[in-house]
Amino acid sequence: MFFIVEESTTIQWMIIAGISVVVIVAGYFAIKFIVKKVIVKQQILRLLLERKAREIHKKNEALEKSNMIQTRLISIISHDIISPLRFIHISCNHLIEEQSDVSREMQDEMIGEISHTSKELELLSTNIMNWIKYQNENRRMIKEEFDLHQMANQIFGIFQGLARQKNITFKNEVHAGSVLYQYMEPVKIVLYNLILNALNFTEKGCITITGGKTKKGILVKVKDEGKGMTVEQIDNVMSEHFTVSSANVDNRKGHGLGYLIIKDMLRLVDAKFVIKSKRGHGTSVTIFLPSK
Amino acid sequence: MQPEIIIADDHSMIRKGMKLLLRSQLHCKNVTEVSSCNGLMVELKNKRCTHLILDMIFSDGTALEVVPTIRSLYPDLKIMIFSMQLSEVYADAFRQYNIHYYLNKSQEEDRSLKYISKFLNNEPAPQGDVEDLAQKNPFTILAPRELEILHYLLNGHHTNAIAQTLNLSTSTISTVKKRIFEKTDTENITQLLELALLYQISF
Repeated sequence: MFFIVEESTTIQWMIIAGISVVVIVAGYFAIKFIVKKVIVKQQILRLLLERKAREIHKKNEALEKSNMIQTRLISIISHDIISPLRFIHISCNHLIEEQSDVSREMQDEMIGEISHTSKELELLSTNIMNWIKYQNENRRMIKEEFDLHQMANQIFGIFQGLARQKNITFKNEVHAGSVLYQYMEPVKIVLYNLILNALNFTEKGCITITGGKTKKGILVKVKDEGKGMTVEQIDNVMSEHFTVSSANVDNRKGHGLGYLIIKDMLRLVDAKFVIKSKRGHGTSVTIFLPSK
Repeated sequence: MQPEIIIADDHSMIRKGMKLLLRSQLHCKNVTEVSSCNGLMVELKNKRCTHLILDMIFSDGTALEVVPTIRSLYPDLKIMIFSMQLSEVYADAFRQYNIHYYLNKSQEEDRSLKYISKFLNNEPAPQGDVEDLAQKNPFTILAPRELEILHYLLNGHHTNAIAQTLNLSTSTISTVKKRIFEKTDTENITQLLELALLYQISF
């Protein structure tokens, strides 16, 4: 009897021991599983957090950049738009009132200057508007088909007057039938700015647009015979942190606004660009527009 | 004696407008135009001039940088600063170079003409003709050197680049930079830019 009891308790003990071992092992695995899950979850959270932090940082940088540009724009508006306008007004008043007092020669000089300045003001204001228009990233745009040859002609038309004054000729060597399926206006704004740059930094000679289809897209090149750019200037333009500052090329003051707009627009159409230049031998800018 | 005048300004419209005013209103025949600091130095060397009408900001430098040289080379030249920049901020910096005429480009025409004619007649500069309604401006307390460097800071130039342009040591630029932040109670360029915008410091 004692034995049986003893035996049964032993078996009981063994069962209890067995169950406890199972429970412990199960518990161990369960805890391990939970811990692992928590760790994984934590890792996911951390990654998410890091990504968000990066996003915020990026947004912050973009905001700061756009702030800088806004400040710069205000400065351009005050210095390069308001004060010339004021002097156009003052000059016109005097030309009207004091006709007899001002020599014919002086009159012509003034009228020429007013015509020139008002054209420059128009181009500058157009560009500022272009830039502001495309700052909203959520803007809905529609791609369309257009002929690059025609577009080049159209832009040359805008600058014909300025080019004639400086004795610069335009050549449109874009292959007829270079049709692109893209956002039309951004492409136009890019070409507009490239040609404006070329005009500003060329004293005489020729500005040529060449272009044509390749397997994966369209290549467009704007070439001038002007002063050219230094390596530092090119690096500065291409740099990620390019900000608008008054460029200084042989005393011709630029706003630096042109390339900023060009880069913004090219980003919109997924295009890439390269600048090649030699001091005194002109600059060529090549753009690759993917056809997809 | 007819004054020999040079107008130095980077905008041709402003030069021509000024020339028209000088010719038709003040009957000055001899007016030359230059568009950069370099051009100004060349013209001053080639021609004997009596009066200089000088803008502040050029593509190749600022008036603050050339004035010391001009003063030492041409001590008798009469100089008037003609700028969009506020006189309450910049006029003091020029006074130490014996330049007492400072005309704001946004000043109304009649007053501008009176002011310029006094300048051309070599009268002492009228006192208190600085803007009647001057805003309290945090940039007023900056010293000439600080104003000089402020221009490049606002244009986004780095310390090294500024040191190179102005021919100064990097540590000098850093010190001045720190002082500008202290004096204007700003912590970084972004804040400085915002302040400059509010208080009409253009660059």
